[in-house]
This record gives sequence, C-alpha cells and structure tokens, in this order.
Amino acid sequence: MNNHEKNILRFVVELGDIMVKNGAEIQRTEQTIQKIVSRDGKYTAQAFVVPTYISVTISTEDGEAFTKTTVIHGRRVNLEKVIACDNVAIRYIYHREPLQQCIDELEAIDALTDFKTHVRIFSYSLISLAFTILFRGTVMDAFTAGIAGIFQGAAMEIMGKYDDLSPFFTNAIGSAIISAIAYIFYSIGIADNYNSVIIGSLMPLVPGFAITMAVRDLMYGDYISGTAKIVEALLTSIGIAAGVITVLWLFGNVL
Amino acid sequence: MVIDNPFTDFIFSAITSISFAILFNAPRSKIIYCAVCGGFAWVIYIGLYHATDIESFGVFVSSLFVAAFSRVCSHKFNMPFTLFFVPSVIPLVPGSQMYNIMKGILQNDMYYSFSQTVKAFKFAGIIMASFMIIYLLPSYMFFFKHNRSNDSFK
Repeated sequence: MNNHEKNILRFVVELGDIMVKNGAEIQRTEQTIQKIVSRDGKYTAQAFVVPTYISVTISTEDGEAFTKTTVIHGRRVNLEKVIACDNVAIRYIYHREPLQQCIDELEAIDALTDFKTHVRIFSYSLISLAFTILFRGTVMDAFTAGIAGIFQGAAMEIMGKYDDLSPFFTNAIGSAIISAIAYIFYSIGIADNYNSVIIGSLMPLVPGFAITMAVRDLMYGDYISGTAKIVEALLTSIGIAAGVITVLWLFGNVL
Repeated sequence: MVIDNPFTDFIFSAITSISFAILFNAPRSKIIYCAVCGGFAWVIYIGLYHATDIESFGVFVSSLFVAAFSRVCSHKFNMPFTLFFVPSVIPLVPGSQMYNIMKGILQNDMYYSFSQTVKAFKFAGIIMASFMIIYLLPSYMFFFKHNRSNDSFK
C-alpha cells in the first residue's frame, strides 16, 4: 500500500466519520466516498456505512484491496459541518485540489464551534414555548413551558459534553425536569394544564426527525441503517416517557 | 387564553424553525429562509387539516411545499437541499406520536400505543414520499432566477 493509497483511505474514512457523526445521510456519505476514490479512475471503492460504523475498501486494478474501519461515537446534528464536508469533497473531485490540503481542511472542520451555550439554551426554551402555543395550550402554559425549557436546555447542554451517554438516560433526565417544573407550576396555580406544558416542552427531545430519516433509509433499500435508526428513536422515546411517568407518579398523579 | 390565529401560528412556527436551525448549527445567513419555510409548513398543515379533517392530506401538501421551497432555495444559494429542509420540516414530523407510543406501553394501553406507532410511520412515510417526489423532478423546474450554476441545464 503506497503513500497515496494510504492518504486517500485516511481522507475518505475521516471524511465519512465527520459526516455521519454530524448527521449526514447515509447514502450521501457512501456516494461521496465512492466518487472521491474513483476520481482518477485507478481505484474503486466499496463503502459500508451504518450509523455507528464505517468500513471502506479500496481495490486497485491489480486486484489488491485495502480496508480501513472506524467506529463512530456520539452522533449529533450539525449542518454546518456537513455542508463544509460536502464542499471539501466537491473541491477535491471537481476542482482537483491536492489531497494533503483536503486532509488539513478536515481538521479545521472538526474544530468548528457551535453557537454559544446561552443561545442554545434559549433556543430550547423558545421551542418549548412555540410548540405549546401551536398545540393550543394557553398563554400561561406557554410561559411555564418556556421556563421549563430553560432548565431542560441547561441539563441537555451539560449532558451533551459527554460523548457516550445513552440517549435513554439523557432524555429521561430532560423529560423528568420538564414534568417536575410543569407539575410544580400547576400546583402553584400558574399553569392551567400540566399535560399541555409537558407535550409542548418535549418537542426538542422527541426523535421525530430521526424517524423520518429512518423511513428514508428504508425507502432507499438500506435496511440496516433504517432499522438501527428506528430502534434508536424508540429507545429515545421510551426514555422520555419513562422520565415523565416517573415524575408524575412521584408527585402522586398517574397521568 | 388560547391563541388561534393563522398569523401567530406562522410566527411561532417560524420561531420553531429558527430555534431548530440554531440547535442544528445552520449557517446564519440562511436561517431566515428556513424560518419562512417552517412558518408556511405549519399554516398549510393546520389550514388543510381544519378544512378537510384529514391529517395525512395536510402533512402531504405541506411537506410538498416545504420540499419545493427548499429545492428552490438550494438552487438559488448553491447549498445542499437538506440545509433548508431539515429545520423547516420539524413542525410536521410525528413527534408527539413517538412519545405516545411509549406512554401507551408504560400505561398498559396497547391499542393506543399501536395506533400511535402506525400513525408515526404513516406521517414519516408521507413526508419522505413528498421529499422524493420533489427530489426526482428535473432541476430546471426549480430555477427562478438566472444563476451561473443554471447555465448547463438550459
């Protein structure tokens, strides 16, 4: 395996790692990897991508084959990094940028920062508030949901620093915090109906988008990724439901 | 006091899309387009749902609109399609159904749980079907302004 093949393999696996880790679609990652490797016509690639694992095999014309595998930890959604990876791939394939430059750019992409933490916590709060109103809760319900969203956002940001926490656990804690605040505000008299508050405030946690992407993977014939994402979505939902029901039961009210 | 106005619905749905775009780290200059798209998504859905009493129809037409709008924006700014589609489609995705699946299981109400499961997959499938309809149409249907990247298609 000469130097060029080593570099291409390293570039392609790192690129795929960043793309899947930040929520890119599985088919797009596989197609990008194939196009990158077969740019010069000398190699062909078979890329196997599932949400937790990437394996790329490059075959030369002689029939030699090299494989590299990586395991993906800590998936989240970060559209800016996905777009940047897409741009690097386009620049390598169509504008013929040298390989070493592209590899260096991947390090820069990995170092891109999110919005600031207080902006993100405020977004959680706005989502809870807006969805409570959209789901026809009263204005005081929405206010309670906004406050619950702030605490939920703070908890999710703290737990988001750790890469390997189970989605069951993080969502259970998030939803427990929401339900506790909802019921406390209800018993004080500020919120009108704790059910509306809880349903509205859950929307940032709920894996609705994940199930849509899972069905998309199934439609494209990628049954492994589709099933894996569905199971992850169900695991997240049961964490949320467990958090809510436990807290409401502790407060003496079985929903 | 429940707010039931289409204009406030548009504003709050746009707020939702903006907040999800922030959480998903979308590039700042494009967030406003996601917001407009997301606002229309919810308004079309609720309008059609109240008019025809068929939820699936509302989801279908609304996600067709979101996909078409995202495709126009993606050709206009030369950015990938998913950037505009992902934050705007969030009001339509079957979020509360997913929660209700597990709530039904934990409360031993299996019929409710199953009906919510089927509804969740139905809406997800509808959204993906309209996404694929728009995705498979030829690109020249979505150009509204002459752009350097459009030249090869004319």
